Amino acid sequence: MSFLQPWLLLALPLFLIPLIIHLVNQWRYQTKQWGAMMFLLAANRMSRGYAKLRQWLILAMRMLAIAGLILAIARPLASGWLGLTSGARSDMTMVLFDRSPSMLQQGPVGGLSKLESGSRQLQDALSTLNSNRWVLIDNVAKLPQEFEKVDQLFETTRTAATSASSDVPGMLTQAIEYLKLNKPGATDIWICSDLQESDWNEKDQQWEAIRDTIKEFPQPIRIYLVAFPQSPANNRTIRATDAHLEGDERNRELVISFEIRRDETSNSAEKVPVDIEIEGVTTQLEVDISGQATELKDHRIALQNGQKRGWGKVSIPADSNLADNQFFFVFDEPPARRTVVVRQSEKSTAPLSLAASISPDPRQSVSVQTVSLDELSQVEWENAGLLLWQGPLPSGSVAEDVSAFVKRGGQVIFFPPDVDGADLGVPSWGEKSADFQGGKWMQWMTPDKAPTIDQWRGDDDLLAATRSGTSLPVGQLQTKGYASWKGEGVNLATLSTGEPWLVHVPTDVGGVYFCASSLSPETSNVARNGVVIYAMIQRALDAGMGSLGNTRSVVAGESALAFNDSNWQRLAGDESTLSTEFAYHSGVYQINERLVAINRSAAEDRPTTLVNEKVDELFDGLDFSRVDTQADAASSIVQEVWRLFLVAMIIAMIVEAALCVPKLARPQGAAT
Amino acid sequence: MLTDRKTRSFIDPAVLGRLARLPLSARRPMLGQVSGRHVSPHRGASVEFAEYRKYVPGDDLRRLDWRTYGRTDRYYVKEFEADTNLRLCLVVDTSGSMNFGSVGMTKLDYANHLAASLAYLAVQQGDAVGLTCVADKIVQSIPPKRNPAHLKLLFDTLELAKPSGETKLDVILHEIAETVRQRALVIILSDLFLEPAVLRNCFEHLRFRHHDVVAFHLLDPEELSFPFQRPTRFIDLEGGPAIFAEPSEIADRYHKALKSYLAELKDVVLATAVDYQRIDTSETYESVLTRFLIDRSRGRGRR
Repeated sequence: MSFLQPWLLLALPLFLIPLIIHLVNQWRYQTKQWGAMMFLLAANRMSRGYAKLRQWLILAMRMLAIAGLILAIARPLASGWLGLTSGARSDMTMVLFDRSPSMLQQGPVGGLSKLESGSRQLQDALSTLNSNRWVLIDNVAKLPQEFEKVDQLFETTRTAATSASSDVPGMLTQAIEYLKLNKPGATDIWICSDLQESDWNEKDQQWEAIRDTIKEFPQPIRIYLVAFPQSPANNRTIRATDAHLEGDERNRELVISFEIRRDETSNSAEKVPVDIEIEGVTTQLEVDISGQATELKDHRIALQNGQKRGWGKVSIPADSNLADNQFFFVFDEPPARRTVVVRQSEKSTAPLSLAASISPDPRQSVSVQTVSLDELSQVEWENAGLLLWQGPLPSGSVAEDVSAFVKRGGQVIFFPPDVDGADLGVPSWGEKSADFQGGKWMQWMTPDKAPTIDQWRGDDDLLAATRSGTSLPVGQLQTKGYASWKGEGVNLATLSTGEPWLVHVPTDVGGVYFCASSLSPETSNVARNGVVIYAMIQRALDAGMGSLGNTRSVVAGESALAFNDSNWQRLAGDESTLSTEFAYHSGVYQINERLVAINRSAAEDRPTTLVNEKVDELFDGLDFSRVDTQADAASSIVQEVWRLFLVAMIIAMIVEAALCVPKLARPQGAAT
Repeated sequence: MLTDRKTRSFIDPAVLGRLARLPLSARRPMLGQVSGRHVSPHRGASVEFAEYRKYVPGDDLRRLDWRTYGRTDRYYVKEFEADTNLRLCLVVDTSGSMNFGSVGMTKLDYANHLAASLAYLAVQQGDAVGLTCVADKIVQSIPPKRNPAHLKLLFDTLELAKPSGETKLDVILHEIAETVRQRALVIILSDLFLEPAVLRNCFEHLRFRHHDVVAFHLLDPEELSFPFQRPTRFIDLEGGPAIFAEPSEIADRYHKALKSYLAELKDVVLATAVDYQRIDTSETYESVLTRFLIDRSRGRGRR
């Protein structure tokens, strides 16, 4: 229990006054010479349980009355917090609001969602607690926004539901930056979240920095977590996994695959009606579900009038989470998978051209343009998805062209220059050589023992395991020589010497990779063991192709930067969404000539929550309190309950008075 | 009547003057040594006719009732009541508990007033008066005598009586029952802080000896009402262990114990035909004695 005026609790020892008076009274006893001792002795021998109990009850009631009064004026709060807060009114209250789709889950009774319930409960709680300044950080904008009143904070659209996932460590980092910048006094940070693992990303390196930074703040920082860990039962999700066109202009069909998932508690077989809507025309079908997940592959829908481009959505009936019952998709004739290979030497780039020219989908046309460093002017950057660059890093106008290609969404993989080149080391080799996006080749290394790849990231990016969970045979790769690399990036694979083998340099859009091995058979077996390089190239090409064509499917929130300056027009989706937040809400949007389908991330369909121990670990050493509530909880998480204490005080006083009332028939008459 | 001129605190001549008009009567026939105002168990020569009895050889011929002989032709002897004096044995409890008093005088003072007045009244009507002061033993014992000069000794003894020691009234009463000759008026002035069952034995013993027993049960108003509020350490006037008590807590049980004791005592005095007088020492001794003497003169004692 916490108190709004905890300093008044300093007066709590006053409740001992009746006891002290009692003891003083006992101490100030009178002495009486007495003759009728036989009656006193008899009285002492009699059972005195009730009389003694009555005395103690009177004393207890008096103490209770005083304690009740003091506690009432200290303005107690009923809440799930354990222990007392410091209680002083905070100078700043920051609210970190999780608006991810999983927050739209409803409680077991239905009605309010976690988001609505959290918003209402937080508003009640913060209105009660009060603060000098109010700051909101949500999972969409992430930028702190200050409000004058707490009511304004919850009336803004920044507390409404979105389809974008949350990044709790990111929001906390933003909060810390804001604290550093504004230097407020005592600060309360309230986090409202459903503890979804993907949103909290417990393995994020930022957590340690967050803990350390908060500990270093001179002012007290208290963190409160309003958690909704309960996942509703009987929730189903639907997600389109593929939507592409087949057939000629006369008989064109949309081939769509989608997946329906259920929560872990549902095991019985059932039929789920699925609506497939294509630009307003709805087709309904029933899908049998028996396990946790069912995928309907290649369901064909004939398109009218040889339609080549369009959008649609798959949806299932409403359940306990309205945010995951529909999924938008767009379709178009796929553009050619075009790769540009820039070579310094042919023997190193032949495997690259070969890997790029074999499409995983035979229906798609493939194009590979191989040019030497001297022929770069012939490259058509506009319709290429992937650039494979083997040779010295680009500089000058070429570098600008490549940067523009990346900024448009293209992917680049750089391979080291030839080691037997005539101009080795100058000007594109070594400390003084040109860099690209901060990364540069340093030196060709030829260790005595050919190093292998010890560690690689199999969960994400180019070296991720296959969909069936099988790892790529990255460990089988061996390279006699490799180029050392300098720069800042994410190591996707590391050689046994500790040097990076594949690095992903972070960029706002597009992708920039550096691979340390040459593909010439004399220096490595990367080309011979072609599985890894093939997977890498095709995955990079897939990502790069996303920027081509007139349709695109993106995850809500991740599209914000890609279409920052574009003119958005909503074709499907929530009508109440503000245009400034289109990028964070699922739907279909037209951006210039391009159709974009925005949907929630795949992690939102797997509502795994963090266990309590993990949450405690994340805030280890911090002033952290947590209250678990549920979506349809009617009671406020923080509620003033001084009336209860006042009533308790009154009851105590009435009981005390009743106990003190002398008996009507005094035994005094017995003696007369 | 009073032979000494010494002023006694427990003697009020005005009170005695008013009480002197009331006789001190015995409820039962008394055995005195001289003629007096009380009924004797034997026939005598008073003017009060008692009964006719058949003549038996040896009877004094002067007591034959010739008129009855004339009517019935049989010899009858006419008998008259004998008048005698009584022996009044005053038993005053001088134990420590008698030293308690909240109304300006202790229970012993009150007992002294009663004893002195009764002694005076008895001597005035020619009865013999004795005094026994008791505590844990017989502190002082004066045999009954009827001459007025004897009163001085009694009053001196009462004046010198100091309350101390435990109450062994039960033992003393048994002793008195054995030592005082039969058919005496025994007046006990005590707070009777003894178990009623123990007192029952004493009273039965005295009744067995044909004594007319009167018990003045002296109780202080504070002992009856127990009016204390503050925690109090009660020190036993008879030297027993002290008791620390919270009056508000113990009062109920005190009253319960007192009520139970008084009820039991009432049963005892009814069963043993003791003239029981419960005295609240806040009442004046004159009214107590007036009521006592009037009840006696009507031939009924309060039981």
